[in-house]
Amino acid sequence: MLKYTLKRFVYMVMTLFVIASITFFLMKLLPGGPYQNPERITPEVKAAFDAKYGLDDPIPVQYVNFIKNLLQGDLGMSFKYANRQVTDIIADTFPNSALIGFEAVIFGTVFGLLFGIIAALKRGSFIDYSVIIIATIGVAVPSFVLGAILQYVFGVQLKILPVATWGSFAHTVLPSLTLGALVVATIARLMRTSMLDVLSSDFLKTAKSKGLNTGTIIWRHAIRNALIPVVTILATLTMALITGSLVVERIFAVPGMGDYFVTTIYTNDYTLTMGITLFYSALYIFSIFLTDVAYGLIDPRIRVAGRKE
Amino acid sequence: MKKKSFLLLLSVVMVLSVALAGCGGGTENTATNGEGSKPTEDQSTAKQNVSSGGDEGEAQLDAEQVLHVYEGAEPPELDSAKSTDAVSFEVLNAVMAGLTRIDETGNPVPEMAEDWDVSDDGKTYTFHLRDAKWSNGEPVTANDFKFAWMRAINAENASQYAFIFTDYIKNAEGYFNWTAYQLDPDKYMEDHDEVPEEVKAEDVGIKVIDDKTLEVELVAPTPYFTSLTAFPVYLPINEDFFTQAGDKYGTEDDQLIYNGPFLLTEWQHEKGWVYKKNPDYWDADTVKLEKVIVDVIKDPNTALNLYEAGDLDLAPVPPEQVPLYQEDPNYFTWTDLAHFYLVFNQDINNYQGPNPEVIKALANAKVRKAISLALDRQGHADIVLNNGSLPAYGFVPYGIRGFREANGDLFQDDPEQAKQLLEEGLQEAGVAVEDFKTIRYLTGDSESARKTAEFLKENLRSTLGIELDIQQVTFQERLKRSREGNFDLVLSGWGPDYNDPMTFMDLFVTDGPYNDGGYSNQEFDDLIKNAKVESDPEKRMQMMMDAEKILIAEDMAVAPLYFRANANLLRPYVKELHFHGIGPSREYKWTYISGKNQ
Repeated sequence: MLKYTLKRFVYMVMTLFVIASITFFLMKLLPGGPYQNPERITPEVKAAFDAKYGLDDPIPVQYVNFIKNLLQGDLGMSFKYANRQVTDIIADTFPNSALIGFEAVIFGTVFGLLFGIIAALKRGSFIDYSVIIIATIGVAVPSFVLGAILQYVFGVQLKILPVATWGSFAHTVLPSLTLGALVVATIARLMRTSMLDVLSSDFLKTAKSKGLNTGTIIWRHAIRNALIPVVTILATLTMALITGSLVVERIFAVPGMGDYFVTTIYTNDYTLTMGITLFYSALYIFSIFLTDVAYGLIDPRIRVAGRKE
Repeated sequence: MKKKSFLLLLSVVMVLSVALAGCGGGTENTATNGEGSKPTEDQSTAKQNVSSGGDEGEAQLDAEQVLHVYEGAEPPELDSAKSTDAVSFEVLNAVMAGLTRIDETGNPVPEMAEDWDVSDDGKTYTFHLRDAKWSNGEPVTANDFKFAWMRAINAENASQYAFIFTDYIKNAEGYFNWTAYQLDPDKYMEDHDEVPEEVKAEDVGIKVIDDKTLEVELVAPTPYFTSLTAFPVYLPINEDFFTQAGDKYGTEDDQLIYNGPFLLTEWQHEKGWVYKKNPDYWDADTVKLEKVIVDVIKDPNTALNLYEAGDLDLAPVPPEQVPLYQEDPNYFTWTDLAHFYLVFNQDINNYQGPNPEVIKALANAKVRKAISLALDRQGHADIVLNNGSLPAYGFVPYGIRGFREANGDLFQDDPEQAKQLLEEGLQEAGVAVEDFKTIRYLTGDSESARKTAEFLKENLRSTLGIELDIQQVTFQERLKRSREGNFDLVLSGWGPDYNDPMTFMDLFVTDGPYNDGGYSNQEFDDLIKNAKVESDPEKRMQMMMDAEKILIAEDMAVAPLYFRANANLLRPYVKELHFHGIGPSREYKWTYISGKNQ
């Protein structure tokens, strides 16, 4: 198991290295440079700027320097946000994104599972169809529409929740709901399908014929087995949500890092783009690792298989 | 009673000064009201609308002097010597004080400088500083200015606004080049033919005579130099504090010291900050606001919703919302003095593209005029933009020292004449009509850029039978292609750096760094060159007017399209909030709240 984990760790680092390299070269393909004022920068000032930050070195030289710094754990300073370390910017904004992300995941998972289970148990009923319809809408309606509607209804018209900005728990409710809607829909659909699958399987029929009571069957056998596909997506879904959503953060003026995924690319802020990409990748890879561990906990068969290796 | 009549007088003076300024004086910029009819008229209406809140001149201050506004982003750079962006400029302007500050009418008024002397040749300015303090108790001295300015022109700091010093101050350019050479001699020599002359720091025309006297020597007489000194990059920096803060300088609110009307407090990155009144500001009596709360709101529709909910006093009106709010009494527009125009690529030597014949045709003035006259500018401003933007019939926008008002419209939209000009022009250029059927049109990737492109496409198709091949690309890509000559037509914009027509006029000198179309006219070059050293203001102005006539009326080097305006909503109890097109766009120093809870 230790050897297995170590091996996986090495793969993780290698994956990150490949991601960093690809990101580096992709960014160098972008037109322009990390100038604040690209429209008016004079050639003389541009030359001085490039010289200062080594941007006029040949690309391979820049790449080697970049990797050297990276190996020392130095992500550097943002080009746009003067004198601010990339790590500081992530440390400032990530907790806000993560808070909303976690709230969305909790809200989405609880309601998603609930809806999914009920729909599966009452298959073909009114409740089932309602859940399917809600889930379809949840997946189909983009967050900028849902966000705008929630903001207008609860913020501007009813005035029960803050329209936007940041500060208290109340401020997190609407963005979390907006973000969570997709989670509810995704998980409800998945759970329903997976439950139906399990409910019609042979071992469940056996359990029923053995005379176990329905509660035990559903709880111990059906739900537990049906959860596996949900867990598979849950970890990666969580990582995607806690790193922030550009749209939701803009609509509700959340000081998170979602915005940086896009804006840093527009401004060619090489260091910040790199830092955020690596941070996200690391989280993502880590979440895949967690998924594997979680499998084992839920399904002993996978744990056994893992041990054999 | 006495107070009231004084205020009445004051408001009369204000209205008068605005009216006068509108008639060719020196108004920089103000908000314009609703429908953009005549610019001069607009400016005076706007004045009442936005700043004074009506003719009553009631100055009943509310007990609570708190203003709640938004910014579209976090200020990325509060080290004033290196600052370039709109948000940083606005923050710096609120919390710092330079030698001068721009007042309501767009003219510089004394700030840290109590007064100044100008030598007879107009090339030496001696500023006498008043007794003022930084927020840590240190006095503001002439050295604070010298220190900040020297940093901006030292290539080592790679300040992107260095040119706003090196263009004016004696030996500043030499010092920049010398420091650039020092930074990396090999690389410097790749771009230059010879080693630059050594220029020592003490040779630069910025001299500290004593703690309270700063002497500045200029390259040429610059009538607008005291406007420049209000520009944020010209703000002072306290050397001791800067050294002590090291590379943390300007990154947090406690990593800065302040000498302006407000103090920067409660700065939470990406969330917002608060300006608190600075009790030690030299003119603290004038400052009425106790607090300005600023939230970072990136989405304009969100800001609008916050305004509707009563959480903001000021909101932007995005173009698609304009029809809904146009009739709102709190709706107003103000021009930011930016001009958007079409650049014709007329330089075959700097061309990348499939069809050189197009460039050959565009090198002909008649062809350029044909395209320009075929456009429906009024329709574009009214239908597509619909936010107070004005159709442009000259290069320098309204509101810059009365230049546009004086030089008038230099041409008119005229589809009939356009057809004829195209025929003649193509013949002169020796380009077959079939080779000039499709022109590439390069523009930004925004929604409004697309609408403009489609409108112009329709104009050219219906009048001249020319098809525009619309290419929407990102901002950086557009700049890259513009500089490389990889375009036929490109929509470009330019905003002023200082309150003088020269900030627009010198764009198009031969081989100028922003002259993407490769326009070249000896007569124009000479006029600009001479205007730059002319010490008689009237002659200088005349030269620039003549130059503009050559640029637009004769050569149509570029096709002017529109002078941009912004649409906003402002609560009526906010008084004397000034909007400027140059440098920081909002000025809070004179703002107050009156009648909020009525």
